[in-house]
Amino acid sequence: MNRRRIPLLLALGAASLRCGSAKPGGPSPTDASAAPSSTRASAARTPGASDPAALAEGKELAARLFGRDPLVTDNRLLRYVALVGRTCAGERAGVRRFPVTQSTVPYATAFPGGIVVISRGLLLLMRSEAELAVVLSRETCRAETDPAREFPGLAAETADLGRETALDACGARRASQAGYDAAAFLRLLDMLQDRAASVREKSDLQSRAAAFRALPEAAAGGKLLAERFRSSAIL
Amino acid sequence: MLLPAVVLLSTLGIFPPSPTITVFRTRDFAAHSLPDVTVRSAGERLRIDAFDRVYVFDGKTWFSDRPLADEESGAVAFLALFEPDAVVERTDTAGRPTVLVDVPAGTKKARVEYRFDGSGLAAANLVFSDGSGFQFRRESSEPGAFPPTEFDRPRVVAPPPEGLAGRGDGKPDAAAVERLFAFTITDAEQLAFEKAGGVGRFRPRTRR
Repeated sequence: MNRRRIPLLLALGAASLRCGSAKPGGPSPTDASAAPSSTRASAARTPGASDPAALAEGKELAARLFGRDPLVTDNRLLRYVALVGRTCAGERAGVRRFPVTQSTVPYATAFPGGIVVISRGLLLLMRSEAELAVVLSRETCRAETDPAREFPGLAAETADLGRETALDACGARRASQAGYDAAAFLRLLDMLQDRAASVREKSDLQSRAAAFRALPEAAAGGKLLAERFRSSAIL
Repeated sequence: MLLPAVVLLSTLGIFPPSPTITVFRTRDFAAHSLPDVTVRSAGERLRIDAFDRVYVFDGKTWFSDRPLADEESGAVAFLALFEPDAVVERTDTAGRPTVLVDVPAGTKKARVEYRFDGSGLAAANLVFSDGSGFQFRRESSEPGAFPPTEFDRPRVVAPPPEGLAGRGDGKPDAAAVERLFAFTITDAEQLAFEKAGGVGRFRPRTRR
């Protein structure tokens, strides 16, 4: 296995991987239905999966990423991840894609056109479907507000903590609405803290965990589905 | 007295003989967390997912898709219990090995200490000859329902055919994107998935 230290912010996500388009202080990612009008307006301006130009851009980015981190060949794993992602995506499910790359580096990101990417390395750190649901949901939120245009692993130190925290909240809300126990995400954040390669990464993750604990979804309960994750993720 | 470490799974109670999934939390000696090790056991058969690899034991022999590399050698903590090359230094009262020495681990040797309880293997500490190593602690042990195919021998990994996903050569892989977008899930399949998990359209309703 890959024992080299991995910049923590890689995981969850590209967060850190940071899109040149990420704007500190910009609109928070959130459900369009619950968003303030300014956010809805922003989301409307953001090219979505139905926008041919955005889709073409997302496909090009995905092709380049798969050249570096190949798409897994196991269709059962692709199917399972897509089913979880679509469960949380609700009405938007049909236009989303949920590819899994073979990379052992833990990361998740979202490209224009509704392409939500997760690495096998990040799946390996998870123990339940609920954790996967929150991660896919938060990246779906990213896809809808300010998708990444750079690859995971680039410019990892420049993540915007405020934006990542807002994505966490958006992911928690959607996963919880779908019936999952969003609090499971705290375990994943804890795992990532253990792997932090710098004091700043660890500090950022601690801040995110503290903010997450304060969310109402963190205490709402729900399904973990750890057994289904173990038997279906085919790690 | 040093004995070869050839043991029978079901009789020695290292893992439960009934279909069970046991998960071990993994840390290195610097206390960094690593991905869990998952053991699926049924009778004398085992499937171990460790260090990004799959190992299958048919009751006599281990199978994997390629030889163990140095960076994957932490898996020997689990493999060595059923390897004839390991040497047992100590056993418990049930005859289960509690210390193995001179365990081949890639280009190194390792010493592995085990702790057992009523559910079988509870913990393992692996120390390589260079002083590095791993700690494994059982996190959960639950009855599992998995198909016999879980214990199929891993296929030997061959280079992917030209033009298919899996090259990783840095060149854009448009074929992988096409495969991704050709991948469809029917609404009936989605509905069945949500129903089985009690999520999505089948999540419990809460009163406001």
